[in-house]
Amino acid sequence: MAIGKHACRETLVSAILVAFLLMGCESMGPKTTVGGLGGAAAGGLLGAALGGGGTGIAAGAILGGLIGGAIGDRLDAADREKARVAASQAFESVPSGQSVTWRNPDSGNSGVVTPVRTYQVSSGQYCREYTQTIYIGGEKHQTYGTACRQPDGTWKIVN
Amino acid sequence: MRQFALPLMAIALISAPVVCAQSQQPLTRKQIMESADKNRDSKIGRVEFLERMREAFFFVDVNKDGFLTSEEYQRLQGTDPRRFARADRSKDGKLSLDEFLKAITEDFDATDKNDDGVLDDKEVKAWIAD
Repeated sequence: MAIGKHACRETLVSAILVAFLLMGCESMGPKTTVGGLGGAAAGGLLGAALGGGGTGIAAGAILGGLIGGAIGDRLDAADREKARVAASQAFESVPSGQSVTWRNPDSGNSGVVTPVRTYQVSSGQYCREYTQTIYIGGEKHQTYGTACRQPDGTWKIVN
Repeated sequence: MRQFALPLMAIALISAPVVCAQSQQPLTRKQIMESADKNRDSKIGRVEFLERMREAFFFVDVNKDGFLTSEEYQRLQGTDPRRFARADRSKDGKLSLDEFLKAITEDFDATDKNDDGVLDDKEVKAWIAD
């Protein structure tokens, strides 16, 4: 009987020790984590960021001055439409650092739109900074701007 | 926990081609690593990593409402609904960008063994071997 009690006490002590050790494994060291989305998800997310590829939602219209001033005056309506389509596609579907180009064989003019940064404002609205290069008669014109996505899917040039 | 997370990360980044959520284009490990190493220093910095993840959030958020739902998130390969639920600190069934970045930062920190804020070649190798 005395032996049985002793064995029982030893078992209990062992169990408590094992429990403490297991708890220690979860919390010890600064590098241990029990949160996060997991490595497999991180890989998929990096792939999504690289691949872009759009959302299945058709690219919306562009509001505001995508091409203004003297540069805009030198483009015809077809140029401006091609530039708008390219910009809309770039904002909606293309990862930062990749470009969408347009060319109008009739006028000989062309352009490149490249998103460079994506962020979210406090309201949850997405904005993308971009560079735009337009070639008119062989001359290169480069601009930099920011477009923010509106709830209806259009992109508004904010500066 | 890390014993499980790191091999999964390695598998996702190295072995199997990762399929993009929207385009379904298989991506090689090299492409994925290069996508995060923006300054081409052969290291993945915390800022680079989070910037790329902010971009990923935009593309995975299909309806562009500013949040990731479980459905949107699970279009990615390798996702775990339990981890999604844990990352959802507000328990509203969706991840805000802030919740998402906090969770993904925990993943980065688990891999950054020497706490220098970057994933260098040695860490990446160890990550692969783990």
